[in-house]
Amino acid sequence: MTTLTVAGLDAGYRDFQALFGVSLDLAEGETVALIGANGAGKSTLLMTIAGALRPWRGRITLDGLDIAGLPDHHRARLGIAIVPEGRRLFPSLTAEENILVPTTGRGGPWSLDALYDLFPMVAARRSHRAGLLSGGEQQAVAIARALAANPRVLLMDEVSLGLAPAVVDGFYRLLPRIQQSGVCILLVEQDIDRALAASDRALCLLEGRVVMAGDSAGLDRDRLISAYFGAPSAPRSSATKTGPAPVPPDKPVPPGKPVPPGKRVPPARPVPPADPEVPR
Amino acid sequence: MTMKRPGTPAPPAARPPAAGATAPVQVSRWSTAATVTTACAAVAVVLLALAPYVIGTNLTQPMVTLFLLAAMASLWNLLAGYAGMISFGQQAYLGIGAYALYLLGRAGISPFAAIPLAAAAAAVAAAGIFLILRRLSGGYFAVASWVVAECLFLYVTTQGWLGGGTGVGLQQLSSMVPVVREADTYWTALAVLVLCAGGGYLLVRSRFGLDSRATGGEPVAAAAVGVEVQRTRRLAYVLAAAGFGAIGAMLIISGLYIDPASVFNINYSADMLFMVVIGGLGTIEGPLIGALILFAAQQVFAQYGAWYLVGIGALAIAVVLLAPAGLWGMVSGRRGWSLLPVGYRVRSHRRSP
Amino acid sequence: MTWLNDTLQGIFVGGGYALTAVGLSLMFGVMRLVNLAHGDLAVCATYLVTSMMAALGVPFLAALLLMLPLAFAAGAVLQLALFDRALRTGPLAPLLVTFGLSIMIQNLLQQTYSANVRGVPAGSIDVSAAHLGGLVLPGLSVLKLALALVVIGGLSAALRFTGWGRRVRATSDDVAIARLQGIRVRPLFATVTGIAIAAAALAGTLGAVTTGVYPTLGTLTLIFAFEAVVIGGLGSLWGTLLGGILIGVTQVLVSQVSVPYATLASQLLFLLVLVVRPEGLFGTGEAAGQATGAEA
Repeated sequence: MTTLTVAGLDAGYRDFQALFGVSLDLAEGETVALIGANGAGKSTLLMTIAGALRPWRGRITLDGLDIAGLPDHHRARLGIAIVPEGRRLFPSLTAEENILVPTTGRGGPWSLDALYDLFPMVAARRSHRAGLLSGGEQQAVAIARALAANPRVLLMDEVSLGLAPAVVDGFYRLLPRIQQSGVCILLVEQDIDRALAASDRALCLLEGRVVMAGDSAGLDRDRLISAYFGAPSAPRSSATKTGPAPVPPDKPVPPGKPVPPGKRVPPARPVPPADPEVPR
Repeated sequence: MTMKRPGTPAPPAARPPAAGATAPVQVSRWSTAATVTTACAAVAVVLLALAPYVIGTNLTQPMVTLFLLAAMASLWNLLAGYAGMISFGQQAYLGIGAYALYLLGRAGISPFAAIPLAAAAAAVAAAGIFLILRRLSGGYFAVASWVVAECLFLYVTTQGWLGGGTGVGLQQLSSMVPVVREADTYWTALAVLVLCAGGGYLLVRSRFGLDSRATGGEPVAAAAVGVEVQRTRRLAYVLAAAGFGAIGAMLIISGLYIDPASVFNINYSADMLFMVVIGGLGTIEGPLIGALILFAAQQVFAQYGAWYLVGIGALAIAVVLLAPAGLWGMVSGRRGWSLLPVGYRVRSHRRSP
Repeated sequence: MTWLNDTLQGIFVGGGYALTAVGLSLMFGVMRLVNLAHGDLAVCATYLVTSMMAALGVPFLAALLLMLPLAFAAGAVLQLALFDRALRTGPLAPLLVTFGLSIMIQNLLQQTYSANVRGVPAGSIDVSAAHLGGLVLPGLSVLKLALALVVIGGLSAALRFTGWGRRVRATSDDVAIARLQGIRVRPLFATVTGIAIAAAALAGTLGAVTTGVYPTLGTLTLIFAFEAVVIGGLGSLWGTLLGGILIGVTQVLVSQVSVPYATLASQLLFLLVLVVRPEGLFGTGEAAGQATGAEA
């Protein structure tokens, strides 16, 4: 049974298109890894599914319901939760208050006690201000905050960013417990090996397009790495060695950068904000 | 909407110039429209200057009001539209200019000759007051500048030598022949407008203009690329204050009398805001259009009391929320017009081989 | 003993300023919105109370209590209709919109009620006073200070301990992420503005019992409230109370020496604080960023 379906999704920022006809689906309890270099559109895809960005074209369905036109807070109530890139906790709230913020009205296994059981280090620091916690503690709070909404779909954006490998290992050891609760996970991870090990299936994004997809166990690693870098032909052997995450080259095309010949930034089009969004 | 996929041939303009060829792109700061506009403006100024001989001085009195409104709008726009400083306290400098002119007149200096001195006095005061305001931004700056004006108002009302709360009159001009006085007032007001609007335009086109627009948009980023944010803000503030000082001097010259409650009135700030916002914040043309609209509203709807202010307030709110670029921005944005360009325009200028 | 009594009266006056300012402080802290029509809305409410007393024949306190839900509703509607959109439009838009609103309200009031000062007949609360040694405890002033303490205390507790308060603080920290947690920001901000305007309406009406009310009174009301917020420090409701009291005490003490300089002295105090400590006496680094436009 498919929980989340994304079909033919175009999205971006103002006049910069970041996603081109992206399609994917997530089955009940499944974990899918999203692989790609910086700027490939992984975070954009997650933010578009969560509702922070409104898609230009395409469908997003959750349990058969088209949610592409719904505002972000509504999607949260329907069961989409995100662990945003860079954690983005509410710094002036305590760790516990951060976890109590989600107001989705959804019941489920992830009570405060269950979350403290999952992350004992958060329980110990529950009354500390989130802004004063260590990076690992903050990441734990961010995951707990997302789970506290008892979501159907959990979007995890680079939980390993800026953390020591041992700390990241700790999070990935907890992943099976989270998966057992029935939530399906869309996981963005720079470290290809980690991503493949933790997921059932994997997708590779390159410059906003899905260039490769398959079962994590059966994917050809060399082909995946050349897809990751957008290399035209043979894989580079130096990049295939196992170990820490390969450092991707900085090759995306951010807005404002000269556009290579043959590729043009689309004309300015008014992109309606996803919903009244109040800047600060 | 449609995206050209890789493989589609790129249009010629996007292709980099071939090596050795003459640069196909021309950067210009001027346009034919600007030449025409400048010529028209020059003709208009000459015609306006001749007006007292043609239409007599009956109609010049309201024209003085219009000139001063337009000058105020241009200066307020220099602060808010370019340097990002919304001030609700520029009436402070109207008051300083007016009272400086009064004091200079008492010292025996001819009022018309004293206008530059009154402007200088306002500039000197602004340099001092800016020390209080320099670190502030946004609402803090807006309200703090307002409080400064209130302080000056409260101070003047307690000072007998400045006429206290009842105000002061300009004795010297009362003895002039009215027709001569009114014509002189008219020409001086026109000169003040030309200096404020034209000077503002030249300023915005200068290095200062680039700096101030950067400062107004993103002060932190502007500082990071080497713009001296504080110096730019201070220069804008002091120069605008000099202009307001001259306008304040004109207020007492045209009215022959000034009292603190009217010259330090927050309503001047309201007028400035309405003119600039309705016409188009951050454009050269917008404030002048806004001044015409406010002036027309004042003339047409004055008999309905303060209702026209209610209407103008509602219009300003609607413009801010629905068409933030103002009336001029709506026109120019749609057509790509700019009668008086302030930026750099890059134009493809490909010669046929 | 006189100066002690003067100080006490100054604290009472400051309690009134603080009660007006608390809404401004709340909106400023939560939404980064400086509502320049804050004082004018309070004046509007005062006129509404006098009109209700005349039209319905109800006593002052009943009209006051009837007015409060209306003020809350007016604040919520303004937030939904104008302020939300202004906040989305850009950093200058809220200032321009609320200033435009202020001018509209003042001129509407002038057209409806004339520019004359109108008394607010409050009956017995106005005149009651207790004496304690050389100290005078005017009933109305004590009530205003007590209400300031209750409103500020209540709001602080609600922000600290309730789910509503948690959502408000989370949204204040990061709007975009708050929305992704299922928080509906628009209704939340509407409640905040509703509370802010209701508190201002309460303070404005009680204040007008002593001074009377006129259409442009809101300008001075706003300035004193803003000064209380800035002196106390952005984001600190208790700081706002102390800021209000500092202004009140300054005014009353200076007025013993020279009445014309009383207001001027409090304005200079405000400018002094801005120069020396723009983040306010109890403000945070974030407040300093808000004041000076630098990133916190």
